[in-house]
Amino acid sequence: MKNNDYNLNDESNLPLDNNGKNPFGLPMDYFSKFEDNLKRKIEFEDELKEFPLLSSIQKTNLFTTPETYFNSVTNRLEYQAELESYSTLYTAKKPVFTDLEEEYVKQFHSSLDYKIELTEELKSYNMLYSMDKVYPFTVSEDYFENVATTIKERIYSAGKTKHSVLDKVLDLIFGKTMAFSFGLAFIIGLAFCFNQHSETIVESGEGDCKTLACLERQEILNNNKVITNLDEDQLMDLVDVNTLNKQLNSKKENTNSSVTKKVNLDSINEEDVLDEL
Amino acid sequence: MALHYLIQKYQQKLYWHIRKIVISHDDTDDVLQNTFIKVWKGLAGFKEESQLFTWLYRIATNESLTFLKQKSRANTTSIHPIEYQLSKSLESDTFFSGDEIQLKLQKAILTLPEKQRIVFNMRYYDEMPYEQMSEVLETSVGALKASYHIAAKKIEEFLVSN
Repeated sequence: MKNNDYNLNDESNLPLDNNGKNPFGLPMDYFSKFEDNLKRKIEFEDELKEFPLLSSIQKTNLFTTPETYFNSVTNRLEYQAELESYSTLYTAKKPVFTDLEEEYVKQFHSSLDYKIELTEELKSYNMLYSMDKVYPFTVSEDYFENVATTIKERIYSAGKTKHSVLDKVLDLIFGKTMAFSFGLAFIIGLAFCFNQHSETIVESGEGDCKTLACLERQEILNNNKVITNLDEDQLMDLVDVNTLNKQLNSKKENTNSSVTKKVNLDSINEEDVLDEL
Repeated sequence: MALHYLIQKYQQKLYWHIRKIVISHDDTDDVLQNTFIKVWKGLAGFKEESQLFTWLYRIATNESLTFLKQKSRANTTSIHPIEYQLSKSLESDTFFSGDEIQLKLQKAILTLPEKQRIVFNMRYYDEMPYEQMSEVLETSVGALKASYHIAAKKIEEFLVSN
């Protein structure tokens, strides 16, 4: 108890504290009210004697208050008085804040730990650590309001332009795939045709002339091994003698005619030529 | 209805993720639309093996990378690589509000190879855990940590030297 209620500094018999003041104190009117208080107490005790059971029970207060209730009463009264001067605020209904959810608290702890981890990680990069983490890109104000509409429109228009069966058939016929297939088939066909044609030329050559002279050089080279393996008799069998004779004779005739022509020219005199002119 | 919900919920996150890769707003808009169209097409086949957000992020990343490849192929006339072109477009971007140091940082980020750039942005700006990044980019956590470390070191060097 503080000693400011009844100053005993004037009492010379009491010891003084370090500051030169008496450390004990009493309520201001303690001695004047002492007698009355004692009388009231005796009266109360006498009254209770009439009820022995009641007087045997220990008098204790079973009700409790929140721990800081009495400490905050003064503050609350002061606050209430202060608030009364602002009528709107005084009448406004205050929101009731409930306790935080356990899940939120857990999440908060983990996110806080993660933030610390990120910061620790960044500490090793001085420049990056010293910079404010600001994302400098911006976007027009109403951009995100229209994105959904634009995407839906695009999807809708894509669905709308779905081809009909006829379009699909035409696309199949005149499409890139088909054009490529036709082109490929044409090239293969052309190559096959050329191949066939070259084979027939060789065959026809063999049909007209079955002599060694008619064999193409390439074929001779190709069949070189075959020819070298043939006997002389077999080679002679391969030669068509009649055709060879005919060809030789025709060549002979040609040479004969050219020779006779040359002879005739030699026999013409210069005078005969002049006469003719 | 489902698509509308997805767009409303994820459009901003995906937009900023794409924007960090392709830089220009117009390009980002294109890629974002393509991403959601792909999502819409593949929504029926989504098997919930991964989280929805991870799946969306993966599609957005792939779409962005494909877009950059197409852009670099289309720009055959330019002798400069795509990173240089992005850096140039950054300077003329009307939707860029950063100061000089921010511009420098963005340029430093643009010097990184694509994958490193994505890893750095996801970690530095999005503050995404490595485990989640691993699911999005289909890369191991160790490789991602190494990639981030290399990227951050390169950026530090760039900032110091410039």
